[in-house]
Amino acid sequence: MVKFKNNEEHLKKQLQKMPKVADGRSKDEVYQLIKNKLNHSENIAIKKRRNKWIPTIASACAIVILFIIVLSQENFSNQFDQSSSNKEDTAMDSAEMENFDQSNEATVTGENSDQTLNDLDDNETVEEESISALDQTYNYLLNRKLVDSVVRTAFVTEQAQYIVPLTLTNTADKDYSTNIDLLNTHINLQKNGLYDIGISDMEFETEDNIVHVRFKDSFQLESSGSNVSNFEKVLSFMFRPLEIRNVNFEDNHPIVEQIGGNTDNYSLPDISQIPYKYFQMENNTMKWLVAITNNQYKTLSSALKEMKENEANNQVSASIPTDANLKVEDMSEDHVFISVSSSQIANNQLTVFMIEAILATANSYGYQQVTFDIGVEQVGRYDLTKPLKTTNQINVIDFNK
Amino acid sequence: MKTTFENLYDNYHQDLFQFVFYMVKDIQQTEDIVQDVYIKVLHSYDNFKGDSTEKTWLFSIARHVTFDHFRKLKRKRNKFLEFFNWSEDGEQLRSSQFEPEEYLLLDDQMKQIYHCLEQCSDDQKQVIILRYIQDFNINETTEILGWSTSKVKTTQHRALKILQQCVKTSEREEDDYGEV
Repeated sequence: MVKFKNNEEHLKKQLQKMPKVADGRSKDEVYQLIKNKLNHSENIAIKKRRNKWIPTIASACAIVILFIIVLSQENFSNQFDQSSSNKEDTAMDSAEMENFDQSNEATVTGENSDQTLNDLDDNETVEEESISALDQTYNYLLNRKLVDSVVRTAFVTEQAQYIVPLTLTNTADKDYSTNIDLLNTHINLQKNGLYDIGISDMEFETEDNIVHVRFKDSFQLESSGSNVSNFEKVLSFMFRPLEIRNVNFEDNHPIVEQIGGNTDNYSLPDISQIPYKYFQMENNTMKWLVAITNNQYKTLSSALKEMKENEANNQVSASIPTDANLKVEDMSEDHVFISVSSSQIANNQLTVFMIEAILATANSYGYQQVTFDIGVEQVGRYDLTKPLKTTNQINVIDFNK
Repeated sequence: MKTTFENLYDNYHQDLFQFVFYMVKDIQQTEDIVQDVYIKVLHSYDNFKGDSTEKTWLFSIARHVTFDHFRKLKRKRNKFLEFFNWSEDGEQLRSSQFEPEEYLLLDDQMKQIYHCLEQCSDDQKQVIILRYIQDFNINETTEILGWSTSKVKTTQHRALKILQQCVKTSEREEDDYGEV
Protein backbone atom coordinates (compact mmCIF):
# COMPACT_ATOMS: atom_id res chain seq x y z
CA MET A 1 0.00 0.00 0.00
CA VAL A 2 1.24 3.44 -0.84
CA LYS A 3 2.36 5.14 2.33
CA PHE A 4 -0.10 7.78 3.35
CA LYS A 5 1.38 11.23 3.12
CA ASN A 6 0.85 12.38 6.59
CA ASN A 7 0.43 16.06 6.26
CA GLU A 8 -2.47 18.41 6.66
CA GLU A 9 -2.48 19.80 3.13
CA HIS A 10 -2.65 16.37 1.65
CA LEU A 11 -5.48 15.44 4.01
CA LYS A 12 -7.44 18.55 2.98
CA LYS A 13 -7.03 17.66 -0.69
CA GLN A 14 -8.19 14.12 -0.04
CA LEU A 15 -11.24 15.42 1.82
CA GLN A 16 -12.12 17.63 -1.13
CA LYS A 17 -12.07 14.54 -3.31
CA MET A 18 -14.52 12.59 -1.17
CA PRO A 19 -17.23 11.05 -3.34
CA LYS A 20 -20.30 13.10 -4.22
CA VAL A 21 -23.28 11.26 -2.81
CA ALA A 22 -26.32 12.14 -4.86
CA ASP A 23 -30.01 11.73 -4.17
CA GLY A 24 -31.43 9.29 -6.69
CA ARG A 25 -34.99 10.62 -6.36
CA SER A 26 -36.50 13.05 -8.84
CA LYS A 27 -37.63 16.55 -7.92
CA ASP A 28 -41.31 15.58 -8.23
CA GLU A 29 -40.80 12.51 -6.09
CA VAL A 30 -39.24 14.56 -3.30
CA TYR A 31 -41.94 17.22 -3.56
CA GLN A 32 -44.67 14.59 -3.38
CA LEU A 33 -43.12 13.09 -0.23
CA ILE A 34 -42.92 16.51 1.41
CA LYS A 35 -46.50 17.28 0.45
CA ASN A 36 -47.66 13.96 1.89
CA LYS A 37 -45.79 14.60 5.10
CA LEU A 38 -47.30 18.08 5.41
CA ASN A 39 -50.80 16.71 4.75
CA HIS A 40 -50.22 13.90 7.22
CA SER A 41 -49.29 16.28 10.04
CA GLU A 42 -52.31 18.47 9.24
CA ASN A 43 -54.57 15.40 9.25
CA ILE A 44 -53.23 14.36 12.62
CA ALA A 45 -54.09 17.80 13.98
CA ILE A 46 -57.62 17.56 12.52
CA LYS A 47 -58.07 14.01 13.84
CA LYS A 48 -56.98 15.13 17.28
CA ARG A 49 -59.56 17.89 17.17
CA ARG A 50 -62.26 15.46 16.03
CA ASN A 51 -61.36 12.95 18.72
CA LYS A 52 -61.78 15.63 21.34
CA TRP A 53 -65.56 15.47 20.85
CA ILE A 54 -65.77 11.88 22.10
CA PRO A 55 -64.52 12.58 25.65
CA THR A 56 -66.52 15.84 25.66
CA ILE A 57 -69.79 14.06 24.88
CA ALA A 58 -68.98 11.24 27.31
CA SER A 59 -68.12 13.77 30.02
CA ALA A 60 -71.31 15.76 29.37
CA CYS A 61 -73.40 12.59 29.70
CA ALA A 62 -71.61 11.67 32.93
CA ILE A 63 -72.30 15.14 34.33
CA VAL A 64 -75.99 14.99 33.46
CA ILE A 65 -76.29 11.60 35.20
CA LEU A 66 -74.40 12.82 38.25
CA PHE A 67 -76.53 15.95 38.37
CA ILE A 68 -79.71 13.86 38.33
CA ILE A 69 -78.32 11.60 41.08
CA VAL A 70 -77.34 14.58 43.24
CA LEU A 71 -80.76 16.21 42.75
CA SER A 72 -82.66 13.02 43.55
CA GLN A 73 -80.54 12.47 46.67
CA GLU A 74 -81.24 16.02 47.76
CA ASN A 75 -85.00 15.56 47.35
CA PHE A 76 -84.83 12.22 49.10
CA SER A 77 -83.00 13.61 52.14
CA ASN A 78 -85.28 16.69 52.25
CA GLN A 79 -88.32 14.47 52.60
CA PHE A 80 -86.97 12.84 55.74
CA ASP A 81 -84.77 15.51 57.24
CA GLN A 82 -85.81 19.12 56.71
CA SER A 83 -83.06 20.32 59.03
CA SER A 84 -80.00 19.30 57.03
CA SER A 85 -77.27 21.82 57.67
CA ASN A 86 -75.78 24.28 55.20
CA LYS A 87 -72.48 22.57 55.74
CA GLU A 88 -73.79 19.35 54.27
CA ASP A 89 -75.13 21.22 51.25
CA THR A 90 -71.72 22.72 50.73
CA ALA A 91 -70.14 19.31 51.00
CA MET A 92 -72.51 18.03 48.35
CA ASP A 93 -71.70 20.95 46.08
CA SER A 94 -68.04 20.25 46.58
CA ALA A 95 -68.62 16.65 45.62
CA GLU A 96 -70.37 17.88 42.49
CA MET A 97 -67.41 20.12 41.74
CA GLU A 98 -65.00 17.25 42.16
CA ASN A 99 -66.98 15.29 39.62
CA PHE A 100 -66.60 18.15 37.13
CA ASP A 101 -62.93 18.13 37.91
CA GLN A 102 -62.56 14.67 36.47
CA SER A 103 -63.72 15.90 33.08
CA ASN A 104 -61.48 18.70 31.98
CA GLU A 105 -63.51 19.50 28.92
CA ALA A 106 -66.84 19.32 30.74
CA THR A 107 -69.35 22.04 29.99
CA VAL A 108 -71.29 23.53 32.89
CA THR A 109 -74.27 25.72 32.15
CA GLY A 110 -73.96 29.26 33.38
CA GLU A 111 -77.15 28.84 35.38
CA ASN A 112 -75.87 25.85 37.32
CA SER A 113 -72.54 27.40 38.16
CA ASP A 114 -74.27 30.62 39.23
CA GLN A 115 -76.55 28.52 41.44
CA THR A 116 -73.53 26.78 42.93
CA LEU A 117 -71.87 30.10 43.53
CA ASN A 118 -75.00 31.57 45.15
CA ASP A 119 -75.32 28.57 47.47
CA LEU A 120 -71.79 29.06 48.65
CA ASP A 121 -72.03 32.80 48.99
CA ASP A 122 -73.54 32.82 52.53
CA ASN A 123 -70.53 33.89 54.48
CA GLU A 124 -66.86 34.68 53.99
CA THR A 125 -65.58 31.24 54.95
CA VAL A 126 -67.91 29.55 52.58
CA GLU A 127 -66.87 32.03 49.86
CA GLU A 128 -63.25 31.02 50.33
CA GLU A 129 -64.33 27.40 50.06
CA SER A 130 -66.17 28.22 46.86
CA ILE A 131 -63.07 29.80 45.29
CA SER A 132 -61.00 26.86 46.36
CA ALA A 133 -63.61 24.49 44.91
CA LEU A 134 -63.51 26.42 41.63
CA ASP A 135 -59.72 26.29 41.73
CA GLN A 136 -59.93 22.52 41.95
CA THR A 137 -62.43 22.30 39.11
CA TYR A 138 -60.08 23.52 36.42
CA ASN A 139 -56.36 23.85 35.91
CA TYR A 140 -55.03 27.39 36.05
CA LEU A 141 -51.70 28.66 34.82
CA LEU A 142 -51.83 32.21 36.17
CA ASN A 143 -51.56 33.53 39.71
CA ARG A 144 -54.98 34.64 41.02
CA LYS A 145 -53.31 37.47 42.89
CA LEU A 146 -49.91 38.95 42.08
CA VAL A 147 -47.27 37.54 44.40
CA ASP A 148 -44.58 40.03 45.37
CA SER A 149 -41.53 37.85 45.54
CA VAL A 150 -41.35 35.06 43.03
CA VAL A 151 -38.50 33.30 41.30
CA ARG A 152 -38.70 33.34 37.54
CA THR A 153 -37.08 30.99 35.13
CA ALA A 154 -37.56 29.99 31.51
CA PHE A 155 -36.97 27.00 29.28
CA VAL A 156 -36.91 26.36 25.57
CA THR A 157 -39.35 23.98 23.93
CA GLU A 158 -38.29 20.61 22.55
CA GLN A 159 -37.36 21.86 19.12
CA ALA A 160 -35.72 25.00 20.53
CA GLN A 161 -38.47 26.94 18.82
CA TYR A 162 -40.10 28.91 21.61
CA ILE A 163 -39.72 29.96 25.25
CA VAL A 164 -41.79 28.76 28.20
CA PRO A 165 -41.44 31.19 31.12
CA LEU A 166 -42.15 29.77 34.60
CA THR A 167 -43.06 31.54 37.84
CA LEU A 168 -42.03 29.71 41.00
CA THR A 169 -43.67 30.74 44.27
CA ASN A 170 -42.05 29.64 47.48
CA THR A 171 -42.41 31.76 50.60
CA ALA A 172 -39.99 29.55 52.55
CA ASP A 173 -36.96 30.07 50.32
CA LYS A 174 -36.32 32.62 47.61
CA ASP A 175 -32.88 31.40 46.64
CA TYR A 176 -32.70 30.85 42.90
CA SER A 177 -30.66 27.62 42.88
CA THR A 178 -32.75 26.06 45.67
CA ASN A 179 -35.95 26.71 43.75
CA ILE A 180 -34.51 25.34 40.52
CA ASP A 181 -33.44 22.18 42.38
CA LEU A 182 -36.93 21.99 43.87
CA LEU A 183 -38.45 22.37 40.41
CA ASN A 184 -36.35 19.48 39.13
CA THR A 185 -37.61 17.27 41.92
CA HIS A 186 -41.26 18.28 41.31
CA ILE A 187 -41.39 18.05 37.54
CA ASN A 188 -39.69 15.89 34.96
CA LEU A 189 -38.77 18.81 32.72
CA GLN A 190 -37.49 16.75 29.83
CA LYS A 191 -40.59 14.58 29.75
CA ASN A 192 -42.66 17.75 29.67
CA GLY A 193 -40.70 19.06 26.71
CA LEU A 194 -38.82 21.79 28.60
CA TYR A 195 -35.10 22.11 27.90
CA ASP A 196 -32.69 23.98 30.08
CA ILE A 197 -30.41 26.10 27.93
CA GLY A 198 -27.86 26.13 30.74
CA ILE A 199 -29.39 28.30 33.46
CA SER A 200 -29.09 25.57 36.08
CA ASP A 201 -25.33 25.84 35.47
CA MET A 202 -25.34 29.56 36.19
CA GLU A 203 -25.56 31.57 39.39
CA PHE A 204 -27.60 34.76 39.63
CA GLU A 205 -27.54 37.59 42.11
CA THR A 206 -29.81 40.59 41.69
CA GLU A 207 -29.01 44.07 42.90
CA ASP A 208 -31.27 47.05 42.12
CA ASN A 209 -31.78 46.92 38.35
CA ILE A 210 -28.81 44.71 37.56
CA VAL A 211 -28.24 40.97 37.73
CA HIS A 212 -24.78 39.50 38.33
CA VAL A 213 -24.20 36.25 36.50
CA ARG A 214 -21.55 33.61 37.11
CA PHE A 215 -21.02 30.56 34.92
CA LYS A 216 -20.36 27.31 36.75
CA ASP A 217 -17.69 24.99 35.32
CA SER A 218 -20.47 22.70 34.19
CA PHE A 219 -21.98 25.42 31.93
CA GLN A 220 -21.87 24.28 28.33
CA LEU A 221 -23.80 25.77 25.46
CA GLU A 222 -23.27 24.78 21.89
CA SER A 223 -22.83 28.09 20.13
CA SER A 224 -25.41 27.81 17.39
CA GLY A 225 -27.44 30.76 16.14
CA SER A 226 -30.63 29.55 17.77
CA ASN A 227 -28.91 28.76 21.07
CA VAL A 228 -27.43 32.23 21.27
CA SER A 229 -30.76 33.84 20.51
CA ASN A 230 -32.62 31.60 22.97
CA PHE A 231 -30.03 32.29 25.65
CA GLU A 232 -30.77 36.02 25.36
CA LYS A 233 -34.52 35.44 25.41
CA VAL A 234 -34.38 33.15 28.43
CA LEU A 235 -32.46 35.79 30.39
CA SER A 236 -34.95 38.45 29.31
CA PHE A 237 -37.94 36.35 30.38
CA MET A 238 -36.28 35.76 33.73
CA PHE A 239 -35.32 39.32 34.55
CA ARG A 240 -37.19 41.90 32.45
CA PRO A 241 -40.45 41.28 34.38
CA LEU A 242 -38.50 42.17 37.53
CA GLU A 243 -37.55 45.52 35.94
CA ILE A 244 -33.96 44.32 35.60
CA ARG A 245 -32.49 45.45 32.32
CA ASN A 246 -28.76 44.98 32.73
CA VAL A 247 -26.57 41.94 33.18
CA ASN A 248 -23.10 41.90 34.61
CA PHE A 249 -21.30 38.72 33.57
CA GLU A 250 -18.68 38.06 36.20
CA ASP A 251 -16.91 35.40 34.11
CA ASN A 252 -15.69 35.70 30.57
CA HIS A 253 -17.44 33.03 28.53
CA PRO A 254 -17.61 32.86 24.70
CA ILE A 255 -21.41 33.13 24.84
CA VAL A 256 -21.06 36.69 26.16
CA GLU A 257 -19.19 37.69 23.03
CA GLN A 258 -21.71 35.92 20.85
CA ILE A 259 -24.69 37.80 22.26
CA GLY A 260 -22.78 40.96 21.43
CA GLY A 261 -22.18 41.99 25.01
CA ASN A 262 -19.18 42.70 27.15
CA THR A 263 -18.72 41.29 30.61
CA ASP A 264 -19.41 44.56 32.44
CA ASN A 265 -22.72 45.43 30.99
CA TYR A 266 -25.19 43.76 28.73
CA SER A 267 -28.67 45.17 28.10
CA LEU A 268 -31.39 42.56 28.03
CA PRO A 269 -33.62 42.71 24.95
CA ASP A 270 -37.23 43.74 25.38
CA ILE A 271 -39.84 40.97 25.63
CA SER A 272 -42.98 42.92 24.86
CA GLN A 273 -45.70 42.28 22.22
CA ILE A 274 -45.79 38.51 22.53
CA PRO A 275 -48.71 36.19 21.77
CA TYR A 276 -49.11 33.17 24.04
CA LYS A 277 -50.28 29.77 22.86
CA TYR A 278 -50.19 26.35 24.49
CA PHE A 279 -47.35 23.89 24.41
CA GLN A 280 -47.91 20.27 25.36
CA MET A 281 -45.25 17.69 24.62
CA GLU A 282 -47.55 14.68 24.68
CA ASN A 283 -51.18 14.04 25.58
CA ASN A 284 -50.38 13.00 29.15
CA THR A 285 -47.84 15.73 29.91
CA MET A 286 -48.34 19.20 31.37
CA LYS A 287 -49.71 22.07 29.34
CA TRP A 288 -47.76 25.35 29.34
CA LEU A 289 -48.32 28.85 28.08
CA VAL A 290 -45.63 29.34 25.46
CA ALA A 291 -44.31 32.67 24.23
CA ILE A 292 -44.36 32.90 20.44
CA THR A 293 -41.15 34.76 19.83
CA ASN A 294 -40.30 33.97 16.22
CA ASN A 295 -42.15 36.87 14.69
CA GLN A 296 -43.17 40.44 15.39
CA TYR A 297 -46.77 41.25 16.20
CA LYS A 298 -47.08 45.00 16.35
CA THR A 299 -50.69 45.12 17.56
CA LEU A 300 -52.71 43.13 20.07
CA SER A 301 -55.17 42.30 17.26
CA SER A 302 -52.43 40.67 15.18
CA ALA A 303 -51.24 38.71 18.24
CA LEU A 304 -54.77 37.44 18.96
CA LYS A 305 -55.11 36.40 15.33
CA GLU A 306 -51.85 34.45 15.59
CA MET A 307 -53.19 32.74 18.74
CA LYS A 308 -55.82 31.04 16.56
CA GLU A 309 -53.14 29.10 14.68
CA ASN A 310 -52.13 25.54 15.59
CA GLU A 311 -48.54 24.45 15.05
CA ALA A 312 -48.74 20.67 15.15
CA ASN A 313 -45.06 20.24 14.23
CA ASN A 314 -43.98 22.19 17.31
CA GLN A 315 -46.52 20.64 19.72
CA VAL A 316 -48.03 24.10 20.01
CA SER A 317 -51.78 24.53 19.92
CA ALA A 318 -54.00 27.54 19.40
CA SER A 319 -55.12 29.29 22.58
CA ILE A 320 -58.14 30.89 20.87
CA PRO A 321 -60.62 28.72 18.91
CA THR A 322 -59.65 28.66 15.27
CA ASP A 323 -63.18 29.64 14.20
CA ALA A 324 -63.38 32.61 16.59
CA ASN A 325 -64.38 36.12 15.54
CA LEU A 326 -62.36 38.73 17.38
CA LYS A 327 -62.92 42.37 18.20
CA VAL A 328 -60.45 44.56 20.07
CA GLU A 329 -61.08 48.08 21.30
CA ASP A 330 -59.03 50.30 23.60
CA MET A 331 -61.10 51.53 26.55
CA SER A 332 -58.21 53.56 27.95
CA GLU A 333 -54.44 53.52 27.73
CA ASP A 334 -54.13 50.40 29.89
CA HIS A 335 -57.60 48.89 29.56
CA VAL A 336 -58.74 46.92 26.54
CA PHE A 337 -62.06 45.41 25.50
CA ILE A 338 -61.84 42.02 23.80
CA SER A 339 -64.77 40.22 22.26
CA VAL A 340 -64.40 36.59 21.18
CA SER A 341 -67.26 34.66 19.65
CA SER A 342 -67.02 30.97 18.92
CA SER A 343 -69.25 27.93 19.33
CA GLN A 344 -66.49 26.30 21.41
CA ILE A 345 -66.64 28.89 24.17
CA ALA A 346 -68.40 27.80 27.36
CA ASN A 347 -67.66 27.33 31.05
CA ASN A 348 -64.93 24.80 30.32
CA GLN A 349 -61.21 24.19 30.63
CA LEU A 350 -60.40 25.35 27.12
CA THR A 351 -62.05 28.69 27.77
CA VAL A 352 -60.14 29.05 31.07
CA PHE A 353 -56.94 28.52 29.08
CA MET A 354 -58.07 31.00 26.43
CA ILE A 355 -58.76 33.71 29.04
CA GLU A 356 -55.37 33.14 30.66
CA ALA A 357 -53.51 33.22 27.34
CA ILE A 358 -55.26 36.50 26.46
CA LEU A 359 -54.46 38.03 29.87
CA ALA A 360 -50.77 37.13 29.47
CA THR A 361 -50.70 38.43 25.90
CA ALA A 362 -52.51 41.69 26.76
CA ASN A 363 -49.99 42.23 29.56
CA SER A 364 -47.14 42.04 27.06
CA TYR A 365 -48.82 44.90 25.14
CA GLY A 366 -48.85 47.05 28.26
CA TYR A 367 -52.53 46.60 29.19
CA GLN A 368 -53.37 46.26 32.88
CA GLN A 369 -57.02 45.26 32.51
CA VAL A 370 -59.15 43.35 30.03
CA THR A 371 -62.92 43.48 29.74
CA PHE A 372 -64.10 40.29 28.10
CA ASP A 373 -67.20 39.73 26.05
CA ILE A 374 -67.26 36.05 25.16
CA GLY A 375 -70.94 35.22 25.68
CA VAL A 376 -70.37 33.63 29.11
CA GLU A 377 -70.32 35.53 32.39
CA GLN A 378 -68.41 33.10 34.61
CA VAL A 379 -65.67 30.75 33.47
CA GLY A 380 -64.11 28.78 36.31
CA ARG A 381 -62.91 31.34 38.82
CA TYR A 382 -63.04 34.20 36.31
CA ASP A 383 -65.99 36.55 36.72
CA LEU A 384 -66.25 38.15 33.29
CA THR A 385 -68.85 40.72 34.31
CA LYS A 386 -65.92 42.73 35.69
CA PRO A 387 -62.59 43.69 34.06
CA LEU A 388 -59.82 41.17 34.75
CA LYS A 389 -56.28 42.16 35.67
CA THR A 390 -53.55 41.10 33.27
CA THR A 391 -50.39 39.45 34.56
CA ASN A 392 -46.92 38.33 33.61
CA GLN A 393 -46.84 35.72 36.37
CA ILE A 394 -47.60 32.74 34.20
CA ASN A 395 -47.04 28.97 34.30
CA VAL A 396 -47.09 29.22 38.07
CA ILE A 397 -45.58 26.40 40.11
CA ASP A 398 -46.58 26.88 43.73
CA PHE A 399 -44.18 25.15 46.11
CA ASN A 400 -46.23 26.40 49.07
CA LYS A 401 -49.01 23.94 48.36
CA MET B 1 -45.02 26.69 -2.15
CA LYS B 2 -44.09 24.49 -5.11
CA THR B 3 -42.16 27.29 -6.82
CA THR B 4 -40.16 27.97 -3.67
CA PHE B 5 -39.41 24.29 -3.33
CA GLU B 6 -38.36 23.99 -6.96
CA ASN B 7 -35.98 26.92 -6.67
CA LEU B 8 -34.41 25.49 -3.53
CA TYR B 9 -34.20 22.04 -5.07
CA ASP B 10 -32.63 23.26 -8.30
CA ASN B 11 -30.05 25.36 -6.54
CA TYR B 12 -29.06 23.39 -3.48
CA HIS B 13 -30.62 19.94 -3.27
CA GLN B 14 -27.62 17.77 -4.09
CA ASP B 15 -25.32 19.80 -1.82
CA LEU B 16 -27.87 19.60 0.97
CA PHE B 17 -28.30 15.88 0.51
CA GLN B 18 -24.55 15.35 0.58
CA PHE B 19 -24.09 17.41 3.74
CA VAL B 20 -26.75 15.48 5.62
CA PHE B 21 -25.51 12.18 4.28
CA TYR B 22 -21.96 12.71 5.54
CA MET B 23 -23.38 13.69 8.93
CA VAL B 24 -25.57 10.59 9.36
CA LYS B 25 -24.10 8.15 6.80
CA ASP B 26 -27.40 6.48 6.14
CA ILE B 27 -29.36 7.02 2.93
CA GLN B 28 -32.81 6.39 4.42
CA GLN B 29 -32.20 8.73 7.35
CA THR B 30 -30.73 11.32 4.99
CA GLU B 31 -33.85 11.25 2.84
CA ASP B 32 -36.08 11.70 5.91
CA ILE B 33 -33.98 14.51 7.34
CA VAL B 34 -33.81 16.35 4.01
CA GLN B 35 -37.61 16.20 3.77
CA ASP B 36 -37.89 17.63 7.28
CA VAL B 37 -35.46 20.39 6.32
CA TYR B 38 -37.66 21.39 3.37
CA ILE B 39 -40.77 21.37 5.56
CA LYS B 40 -39.08 23.67 8.07
CA VAL B 41 -37.73 25.91 5.34
CA LEU B 42 -41.06 26.16 3.53
CA HIS B 43 -42.83 26.98 6.79
CA SER B 44 -40.45 29.79 7.65
CA TYR B 45 -39.48 30.98 4.18
CA ASP B 46 -41.55 34.16 4.57
CA ASN B 47 -39.60 35.02 7.70
CA PHE B 48 -36.24 34.77 5.93
CA LYS B 49 -34.84 38.25 6.33
CA GLY B 50 -31.88 37.94 3.98
CA ASP B 51 -29.31 38.64 6.73
CA SER B 52 -27.33 35.72 5.33
CA THR B 53 -27.38 34.08 1.93
CA GLU B 54 -30.20 31.69 1.14
CA LYS B 55 -27.72 28.83 0.95
CA THR B 56 -26.15 29.41 4.39
CA TRP B 57 -29.64 29.87 5.87
CA LEU B 58 -30.73 26.55 4.36
CA PHE B 59 -27.65 24.78 5.67
CA SER B 60 -28.05 26.21 9.16
CA ILE B 61 -31.59 24.79 9.22
CA ALA B 62 -30.28 21.47 7.88
CA ARG B 63 -27.75 21.42 10.65
CA HIS B 64 -30.41 22.02 13.32
CA VAL B 65 -32.68 19.34 11.93
CA THR B 66 -29.78 16.88 11.79
CA PHE B 67 -28.86 17.59 15.41
CA ASP B 68 -32.50 17.19 16.43
CA HIS B 69 -32.36 13.83 14.71
CA PHE B 70 -29.26 12.90 16.72
CA ARG B 71 -30.97 13.96 19.93
CA LYS B 72 -34.04 11.88 19.16
CA LEU B 73 -31.82 8.94 18.30
CA LYS B 74 -29.97 9.38 21.56
CA ARG B 75 -33.21 9.44 23.56
CA LYS B 76 -34.40 6.35 21.73
CA ARG B 77 -31.11 4.64 22.45
CA ASN B 78 -31.25 5.58 26.14
CA LYS B 79 -34.79 4.20 26.42
CA PHE B 80 -33.65 1.05 24.66
CA LEU B 81 -30.69 0.67 27.00
CA GLU B 82 -32.86 1.26 30.08
CA PHE B 83 -35.35 -1.29 28.89
CA PHE B 84 -33.10 -4.08 27.83
CA ASN B 85 -29.84 -3.19 29.51
CA TRP B 86 -27.98 -4.50 26.51
CA SER B 87 -25.33 -1.87 26.56
CA GLU B 88 -23.18 -3.21 23.74
CA ASP B 89 -26.05 -3.91 21.37
CA GLY B 90 -27.60 -0.58 22.21
CA GLU B 91 -24.44 1.24 21.25
CA GLN B 92 -24.74 -0.19 17.80
CA LEU B 93 -28.03 1.61 17.26
CA ARG B 94 -26.29 4.71 16.06
CA SER B 95 -23.64 4.75 13.38
CA SER B 96 -24.47 2.14 10.84
CA GLN B 97 -21.43 3.15 8.71
CA PHE B 98 -23.27 2.84 5.45
CA GLU B 99 -20.97 2.68 2.46
CA PRO B 100 -22.46 4.20 -0.70
CA GLU B 101 -21.75 2.81 -4.18
CA GLU B 102 -19.23 5.59 -4.70
CA TYR B 103 -17.26 4.22 -1.73
CA LEU B 104 -16.22 1.16 -3.71
CA LEU B 105 -14.37 3.35 -6.18
CA LEU B 106 -12.23 4.98 -3.48
CA ASP B 107 -8.63 4.07 -2.90
CA ASP B 108 -7.47 2.77 0.49
CA GLN B 109 -6.47 6.18 1.81
CA MET B 110 -9.84 7.69 0.97
CA LYS B 111 -11.66 4.76 2.54
CA GLN B 112 -9.64 5.31 5.71
CA ILE B 113 -10.60 8.98 5.76
CA TYR B 114 -14.24 8.12 5.17
CA HIS B 115 -14.25 5.86 8.23
CA CYS B 116 -12.02 8.13 10.31
CA LEU B 117 -14.62 10.92 10.06
CA GLU B 118 -16.53 8.94 12.68
CA GLN B 119 -13.69 9.53 15.16
CA CYS B 120 -14.55 13.24 15.16
CA SER B 121 -17.25 14.71 17.37
CA ASP B 122 -20.46 15.86 15.62
CA ASP B 123 -19.27 19.48 15.85
CA GLN B 124 -15.88 18.63 14.35
CA LYS B 125 -17.45 16.49 11.65
CA GLN B 126 -19.79 19.25 10.52
CA VAL B 127 -16.92 21.73 10.24
CA ILE B 128 -14.89 19.28 8.12
CA ILE B 129 -17.87 18.52 5.88
CA LEU B 130 -18.78 22.17 5.40
CA ARG B 131 -15.22 23.38 4.85
CA TYR B 132 -13.79 20.64 2.65
CA ILE B 133 -16.50 18.39 1.28
CA GLN B 134 -19.00 21.21 0.68
CA ASP B 135 -16.32 23.81 0.03
CA PHE B 136 -17.77 26.62 2.16
CA ASN B 137 -15.32 29.35 3.16
CA ILE B 138 -14.70 30.34 6.79
CA ASN B 139 -17.23 33.18 6.76
CA GLU B 140 -19.98 31.04 5.30
CA THR B 141 -19.21 28.30 7.82
CA THR B 142 -19.45 30.74 10.73
CA GLU B 143 -22.81 31.94 9.40
CA ILE B 144 -24.17 28.42 9.13
CA LEU B 145 -22.96 27.36 12.55
CA GLY B 146 -23.58 30.68 14.28
CA TRP B 147 -20.07 30.44 15.73
CA SER B 148 -17.21 32.89 15.95
CA THR B 149 -14.45 32.62 13.34
CA SER B 150 -11.94 31.57 15.97
CA LYS B 151 -14.17 28.75 17.15
CA VAL B 152 -14.57 27.45 13.59
CA LYS B 153 -10.80 27.58 13.07
CA THR B 154 -10.04 25.86 16.37
CA THR B 155 -12.60 23.12 15.77
CA GLN B 156 -11.31 22.62 12.22
CA HIS B 157 -7.71 22.37 13.46
CA ARG B 158 -8.64 19.79 16.12
CA ALA B 159 -10.69 17.77 13.66
CA LEU B 160 -7.84 17.62 11.14
CA LYS B 161 -5.48 16.45 13.89
CA ILE B 162 -7.88 13.68 14.86
CA LEU B 163 -8.26 12.60 11.24
CA GLN B 164 -4.48 12.58 10.71
CA GLN B 165 -3.99 10.56 13.86
CA CYS B 166 -6.71 8.09 12.93
CA VAL B 167 -5.39 7.60 9.41
CA LYS B 168 -1.88 7.08 10.78
CA THR B 169 -3.13 4.45 13.26
CA SER B 170 -5.16 2.60 10.60
CA GLU B 171 -2.15 2.62 8.30
CA ARG B 172 0.08 1.21 11.06
CA GLU B 173 -2.45 -1.53 11.84
CA GLU B 174 -2.61 -2.50 8.18
CA ASP B 175 1.19 -2.60 7.98
CA ASP B 176 1.36 -4.82 11.10
CA TYR B 177 -1.25 -7.10 9.62
CA GLY B 178 0.78 -7.31 6.38
CA GLU B 179 3.94 -8.28 8.30
CA VAL B 180 2.20 -11.11 10.17
